Amino acid sequence: MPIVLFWLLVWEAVAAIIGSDLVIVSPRVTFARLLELAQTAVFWQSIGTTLGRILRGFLFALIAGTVLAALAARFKTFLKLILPAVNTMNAVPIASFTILALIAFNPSDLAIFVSFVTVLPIIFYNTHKGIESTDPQLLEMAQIFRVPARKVIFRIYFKTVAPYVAAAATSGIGFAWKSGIAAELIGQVSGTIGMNLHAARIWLNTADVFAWTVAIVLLSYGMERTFRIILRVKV
Amino acid sequence: MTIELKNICKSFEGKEILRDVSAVFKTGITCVMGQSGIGKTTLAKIIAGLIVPDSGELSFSKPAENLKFSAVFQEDRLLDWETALGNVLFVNPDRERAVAFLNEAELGENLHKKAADLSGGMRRRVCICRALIADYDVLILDEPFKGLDVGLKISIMQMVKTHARGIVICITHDEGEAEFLGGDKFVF
Repeated sequence: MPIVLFWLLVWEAVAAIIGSDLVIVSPRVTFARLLELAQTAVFWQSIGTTLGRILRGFLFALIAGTVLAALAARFKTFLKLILPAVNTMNAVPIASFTILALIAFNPSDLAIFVSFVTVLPIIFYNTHKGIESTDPQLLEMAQIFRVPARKVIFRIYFKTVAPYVAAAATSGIGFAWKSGIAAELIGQVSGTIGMNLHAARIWLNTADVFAWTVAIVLLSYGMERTFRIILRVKV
Repeated sequence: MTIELKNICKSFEGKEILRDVSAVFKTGITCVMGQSGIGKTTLAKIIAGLIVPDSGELSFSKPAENLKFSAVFQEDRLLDWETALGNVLFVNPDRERAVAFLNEAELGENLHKKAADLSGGMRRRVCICRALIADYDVLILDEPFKGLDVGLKISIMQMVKTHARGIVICITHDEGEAEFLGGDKFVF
């Protein structure tokens, strides 16, 4: 908490030094605007729409990335086949994906698709690394004792891979928000956080840009915390 | 039941580890003895099917696919995130027997302690309990008593002698252990 307070004071000081609400607004103005926005239905509708889409994109990426990583670890030919696709996915800029998706998909699916393609490589690389780092001696032990595959998966692989997936997923959440919002903004998808940011930019409403940004940071942080809690319970 | 090895050879990266090794292991305890690095563990791994020999013949009196193995490995190979009891139950879900074995190995007070938090000697005893409780025809013990205190070692050796069944191959370079366990000896 004192650290947050420190950075709020730094923000306040920088805003005071610059002295232009067009360039940077102070924390007080930002939070006051956020409170105002929070009293409107549009704010909550936009949050609900964007949150739902980014969450779906993230969850699809989490499932697909984990399954693909498991298949790649099991079948080396599959790894050779899938790796160039994942590497490409990782290298292609968000803007390119957004434009391609705008041509191919309904705008309402844009954030789902873009956050999916952004998060999938992160989940894939980390999960694959986790599976590969499983102690071969433990697997040999399980083989000698003829331990059923289900037990080996849950009690050896899961325990080894879980920290890798958790780390990838928590950083993936941040990327899902960044890419999802950017896609909404580029695609000007109505009724979304991205569209609200776009409108604030058009009207040079810096207070709105800051207020929406704070809302995004809080949402991303909240989603990350929730995910950590779920993992702690399940793993 | 018997295991017969004929002229087994094995090399790793050009280095010859086993050369024309022939032996017969029958039901009961056989202590495999010899200096460190002579290939005792490699031989045990060949018997367990974990390593394929370069040449030679390995035959069992029972179809190999039906043969069940159990082992105390040279390394503990415990699931550090599981308890002592959890590690034993990993190979056999019979909780009552698992607790009885662990009690006999004087681990009764540490049943629910994570393997990572156990001392070296305790971990070794968990490994022995895990090997004994498994369903097996062939039990391979690779330096099973290393790291055990002298007093405890005798009671654990007695435990192995009492509960081990089928073909028991015990790798050791300790004459005293071989004497205590009795049975046949195979010296490299």
